[in-house]
Amino acid sequence: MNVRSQRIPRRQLLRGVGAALALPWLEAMGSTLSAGVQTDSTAPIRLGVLFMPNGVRPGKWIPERSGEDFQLSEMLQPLSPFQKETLVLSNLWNRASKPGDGHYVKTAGLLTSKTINKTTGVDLNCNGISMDQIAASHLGKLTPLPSLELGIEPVPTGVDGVVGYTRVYGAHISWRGPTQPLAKEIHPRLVYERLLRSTRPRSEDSLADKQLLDLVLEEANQLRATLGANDRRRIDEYLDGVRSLEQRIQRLEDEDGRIWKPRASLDTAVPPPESIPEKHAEHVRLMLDLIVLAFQTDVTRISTLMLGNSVSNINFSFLEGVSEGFHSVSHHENKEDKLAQYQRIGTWHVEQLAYLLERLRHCQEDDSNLLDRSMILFASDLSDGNAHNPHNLPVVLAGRAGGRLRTGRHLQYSPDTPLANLYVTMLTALGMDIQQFADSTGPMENVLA
Amino acid sequence: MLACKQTIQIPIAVILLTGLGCFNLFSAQSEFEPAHSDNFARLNNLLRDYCADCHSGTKPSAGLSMAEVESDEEIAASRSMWQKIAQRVHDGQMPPMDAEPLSLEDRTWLSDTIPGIFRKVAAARGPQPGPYRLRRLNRSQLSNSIRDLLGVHYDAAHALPVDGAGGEGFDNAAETLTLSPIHVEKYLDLAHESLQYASANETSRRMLLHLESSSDADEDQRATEVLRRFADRAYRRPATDDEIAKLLQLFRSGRNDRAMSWDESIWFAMRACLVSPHFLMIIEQPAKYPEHVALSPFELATRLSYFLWDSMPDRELRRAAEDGSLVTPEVLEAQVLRMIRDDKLSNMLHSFVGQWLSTRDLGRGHKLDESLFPEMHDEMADTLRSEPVRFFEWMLRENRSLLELLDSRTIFINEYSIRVYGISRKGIDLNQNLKRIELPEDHVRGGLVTMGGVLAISSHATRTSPVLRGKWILDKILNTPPPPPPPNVPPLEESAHDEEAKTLRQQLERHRSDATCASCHNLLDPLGFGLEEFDPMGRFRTEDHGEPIDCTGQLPTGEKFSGARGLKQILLQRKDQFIRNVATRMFAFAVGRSLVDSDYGEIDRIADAVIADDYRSQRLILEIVRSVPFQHRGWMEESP
Repeated sequence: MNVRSQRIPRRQLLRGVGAALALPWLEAMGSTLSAGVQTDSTAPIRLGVLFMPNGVRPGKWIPERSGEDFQLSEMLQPLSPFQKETLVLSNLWNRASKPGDGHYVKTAGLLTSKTINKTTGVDLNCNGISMDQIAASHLGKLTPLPSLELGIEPVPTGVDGVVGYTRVYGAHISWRGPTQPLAKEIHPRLVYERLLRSTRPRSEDSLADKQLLDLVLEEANQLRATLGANDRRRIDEYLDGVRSLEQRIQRLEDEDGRIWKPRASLDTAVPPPESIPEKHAEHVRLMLDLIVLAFQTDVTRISTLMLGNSVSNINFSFLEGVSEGFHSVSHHENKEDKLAQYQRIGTWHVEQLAYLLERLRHCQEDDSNLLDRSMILFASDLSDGNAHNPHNLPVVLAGRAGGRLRTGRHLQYSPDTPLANLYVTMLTALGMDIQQFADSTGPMENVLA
Repeated sequence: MLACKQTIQIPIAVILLTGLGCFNLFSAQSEFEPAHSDNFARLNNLLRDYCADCHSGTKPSAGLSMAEVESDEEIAASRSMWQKIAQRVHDGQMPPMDAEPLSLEDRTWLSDTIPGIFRKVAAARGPQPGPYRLRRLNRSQLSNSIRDLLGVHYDAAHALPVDGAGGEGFDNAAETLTLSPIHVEKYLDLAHESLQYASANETSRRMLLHLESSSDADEDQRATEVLRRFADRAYRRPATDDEIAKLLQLFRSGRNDRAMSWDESIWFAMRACLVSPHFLMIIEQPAKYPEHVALSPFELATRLSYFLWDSMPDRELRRAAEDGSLVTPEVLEAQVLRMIRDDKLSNMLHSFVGQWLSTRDLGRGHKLDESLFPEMHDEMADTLRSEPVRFFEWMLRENRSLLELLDSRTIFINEYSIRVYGISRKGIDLNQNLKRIELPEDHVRGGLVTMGGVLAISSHATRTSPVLRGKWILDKILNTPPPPPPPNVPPLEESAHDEEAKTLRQQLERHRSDATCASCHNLLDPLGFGLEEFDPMGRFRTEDHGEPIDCTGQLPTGEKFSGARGLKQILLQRKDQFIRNVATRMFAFAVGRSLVDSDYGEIDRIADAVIADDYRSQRLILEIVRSVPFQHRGWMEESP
């Protein structure tokens, strides 16, 4: 497998995508939100989501005091250089993830605040749209890629026969529609190439590609007419993909008319290595670098990164004092040895968040920096992994979102405040007029400036 | 580290308690016994004692009211309700925490019995085609198809995201083969890229562009010949005149509008074929419920080739489809046997075996700790991943018994894995290729459970885990994965350094005070302990960290055994259950969708035929191909 007898020069490879299509602008799927788009007057706000599986060590995450003079907890220490740019939010939960055992219902529902259908395949459905995709339906039109879904681990093999879920659920947090999980890219080099390809100027052969896609659309539509509802869905996903590509090419055509011009160019970026790094830490860093690159060059303003799949058992023995996989130690049985390892692994994840924040802060943009124009959500779908506790989730929101967020505080809400309230708040900060998201009861108090 | 110095003794009470249903391990027959009044009495008693307090009366909880049931049909008629009941009970969510708990035995019995009734009622209607599912080619199918279509040695799908798995755990299941915009984007890339390879390769060029029409044929005629030949193969059926006309239009526009050369215009039109849904998806004509409509010969050829080769049909299959002979039993059987002999069989086995056993993840999603196991380098992981595939391939080609998967004197080794297996090198000439050797009698190796890849995939990165290995056997060999631990009970985890309880036996005893934990782990752990003779790489050992290994175990049935040899005997005593498992999985892989109730009757028939034919492996393939769901068009909308 993976036999590549020769390498094709990148230029040639890139020619494959085809370019400018002048097809009629087809109805976009899912863009039901009517809010006015933030335009020229404001600098773009970026939305990043880092997902950490398996929860955190109890008692070591929530900061001591609330308000502005809060003290970072042990696990949050890596954020000390960014305390003023950080909001720690406690007592949030995702009610919809309560039914269903184990991890999958919590992971797949983290950004949708909905309950997935229990299945190994038939009727795969998350019953919602993830908040990042709501944002993409609003902001995605402004950038070459509407959003960028990244991960570290591929979708695991098989289904989970013990709990009766397909592992597809545990490998996706971004859902474009109830039945459409967005496949994530885990290969840094391929991400980089995708960024390049999505911004390259149009090829001389665009008319050819237009004809080609025209034909494909026609065929797919003919086929659609012969199918039942279930199978139409698959064709619809295919049509959606073709249309997305058309729209992107259209956006490239309109490059000159772009309202906001990126301050940085992809041309100077160093390409990641040809293969995925063996070392987990290096792999994660590369992915974080790519998020920064994508934001900086305005290829997209929305990105999610799964630092591991649900139930991830990545071996963290590269950390001092750790001898086990992540999921193994998350079932710590309150044994100090395992708790210490659990804490160390969780803290390592916070260090990665800090790295991202550092990189973002480093990127000057006009008289500001990228961190100030971003909003980075870091969250796990569990609090204490030992008992799969869904209450009081570990949630951090970093970056000022262009001054729209009042950061630098620990906000303690009443127990079991819907996580969806935070999503309403975040989407509002992104300029959307949104009142309700899943089980939300309103925006978060004290978060918006 | 783990050291089990004492035999795991299970109290008699537990043996009796778990005697009937637990993971089906204790009954020779895994299938639901014909329901009789006793079963309904038991069911009604359980419902009355554990459910009716809340689920009855004028305001039943969740709107679900339990009434006495008297027939299978009654249960099957409210399938979704009963399925939900079985599921909630299986998951330990019902009865709720503040209510009287259901014993594991009753819990397992109930959650096995209800789907058993669905299947029995469905089987009474006779074999059925099952649902139609449109499915896209997965990564390996796409890569193999492009390789065969273009004659290029190039993994065209390398940049596509990894596919998830559904149904019985395979990534060719239609339901979980979702499509993201990133797929379409990459389809366009790979179409372009792989045709560039083909155009640069003289053999491919000749195969794709050669002309048979007379030299005085005009340009359009020549283009039509080439494009029709290509589209027929790409779409795995004769392309329609309309489709050809459109491809020809693309060709002409290349020639006329853009001054492309003849070749360039052909490649351009071919690119359209490679991004067409007719190439990227397996499309069959659906049937209407409840009609039984045989697949067309081309549809049958396509099913066969994606089943046995994970790729498109070859010339010979296409010919048998063209003249219609493929649908005759003799030709069909001859084709299947030919396909089993073909090299492309290993494509399918890499997918099937690697996913069934999870060994595909070794060295990828699942890595042993490098510092502890430096010997598990890439070549070793590759070898151990390939070994079960190679073994299965040999077994099938030689029509050996499927029971050789449980125990065999034949193993495949190479210069790397010989170090894992501790076999004398004397007189064996080894290189990187896996080589078949015969083991001396009573050797501890042979069969799946002692293969290094299996032992590694069921270990933690740093140490072995009897729990994981026991679970692996229950899931992969017997197809009876344990139920999940009840909510809020942390799983029993054996720990490397536990101060209070040094041995696993001590830990087990501690946990046995909680009968819910113990009743599952009493089964999981002894099975796994049987494999404690092997370290996380699968190397034989007699001690671990200075502690001698004791690999004896006793099952809740009272059966005692020692080590891998004994474990294999235990499994061989459940050989028919094993065959049903292999049949279920292979069937699901063959039809490429999640199974439905009506499939199980056919799977039983297939398993029975295999058992009656001395467990011969080719029988399994032939019977699957012969089955009603494999041979018929699926129903378009959900069947009742």
